[in-house]
Amino acid sequence: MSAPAGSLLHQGSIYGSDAEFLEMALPFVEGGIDAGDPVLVASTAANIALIDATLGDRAAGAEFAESAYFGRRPPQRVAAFARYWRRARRRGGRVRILAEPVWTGRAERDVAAWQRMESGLNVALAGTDMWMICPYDARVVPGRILAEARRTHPSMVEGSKSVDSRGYADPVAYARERDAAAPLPPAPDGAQEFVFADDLRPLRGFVAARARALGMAEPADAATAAGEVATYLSQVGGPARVRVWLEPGALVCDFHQEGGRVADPFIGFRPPGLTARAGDEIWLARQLTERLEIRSTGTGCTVRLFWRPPRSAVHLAPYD
Amino acid sequence: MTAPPGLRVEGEVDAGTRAAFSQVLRTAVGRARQDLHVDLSRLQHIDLGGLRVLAAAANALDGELTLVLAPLPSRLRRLIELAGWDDVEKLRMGPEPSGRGREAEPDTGPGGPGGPGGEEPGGEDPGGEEPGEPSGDTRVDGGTR
Repeated sequence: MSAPAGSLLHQGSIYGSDAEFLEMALPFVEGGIDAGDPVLVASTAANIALIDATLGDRAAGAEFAESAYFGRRPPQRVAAFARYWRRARRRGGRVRILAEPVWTGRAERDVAAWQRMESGLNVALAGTDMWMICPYDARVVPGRILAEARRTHPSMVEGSKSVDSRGYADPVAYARERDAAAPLPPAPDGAQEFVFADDLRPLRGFVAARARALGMAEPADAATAAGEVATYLSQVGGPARVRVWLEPGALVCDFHQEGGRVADPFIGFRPPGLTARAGDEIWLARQLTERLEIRSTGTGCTVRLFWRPPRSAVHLAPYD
Repeated sequence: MTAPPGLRVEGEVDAGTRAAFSQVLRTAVGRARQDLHVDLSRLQHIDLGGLRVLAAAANALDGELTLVLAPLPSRLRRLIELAGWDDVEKLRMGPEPSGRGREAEPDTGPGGPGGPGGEEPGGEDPGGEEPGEPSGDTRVDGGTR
């Protein structure tokens, strides 16, 4: 198995047994160790144990993280990959990551968000020369998710060979298709609203007060995330309206800008640098929310931020 | 105790106040002959653009000099980490304010034991007015010596 150096290589791999997993993973991990490349295995505990058992002492040449603890949601996952790359590349070599997402037990909308991220990684990591393989376990992952892996990875590892992915979709087209298939439901009647233009201080105050009144544990996070979205919107368009409400499963903060349009479906997917880039604000908003959705329609654009509802039992903060 | 050279920032840093904030930091960076300390413990809000000003200022310091954020409320440390700028080597993140851990509390200042913010760093600053309640506008005290 070889890969052209110099640019991102993002591959999927569907395996149906431990043996098939090792056939794909061992050359990747062992080859990286032998080449002196930084190697990270972010996978299931079972697969980490398999690699450990096979490599023995040599496993110390790689780093391991259970997927469940390496980015709980897609924006955190992208941040974790980007951070690993920033740090590991200083050691030299080509950074390799075996990145197995967790699919079981997820809500449909979260599966969609992870699939959208798989496609978005082709954009978010485009400036790196990282080599990433994303394994999918056919024993537990439903067929429709396996099929989607061929659309989100430009190439697939089959056995010990790399093959071009049939059906790979352009990431921007893919994200637009997924977004179009999941329109945002209308805001509920009677949600309190606030209109802002350039002065963002009262806007942050409104969001913090509403979030606090609705029982959110960290209203400052809501105000900061809302402030970032507002900063972005005020740069690209005119006044916008914000509404905050509680719905089953979420505390919601909704921005609508008449006539606005967000063209880049992966805005805020790439980590900010020291030189400002359009949409960096959305990066921080994504990091501070449970979910962030953007839709542009004929009448304008909507940016909707979601947090977990203020139900005490789900707040296990030290373990987040 | 001698206060290290530095700045204390109060109020809110956002798109409306960023230019002034950036100007003050540029001036301080230009004058710095030792590590530059910035006390954000009385800051009520700072956005990503404001955090970038701090990270860029750290990188603009001469040679081995660093920009030290101290005391640094845990919430601001987290935002810097979310931006990924904790990897900026010349930006050092100091301990949390002593006493209460909340950045919005204006009472962590005078007499705080040990911390670099324990003494008014801006004592020689011309134009320093009577420190009062945070006004909401950004207010920067201090200067390099």
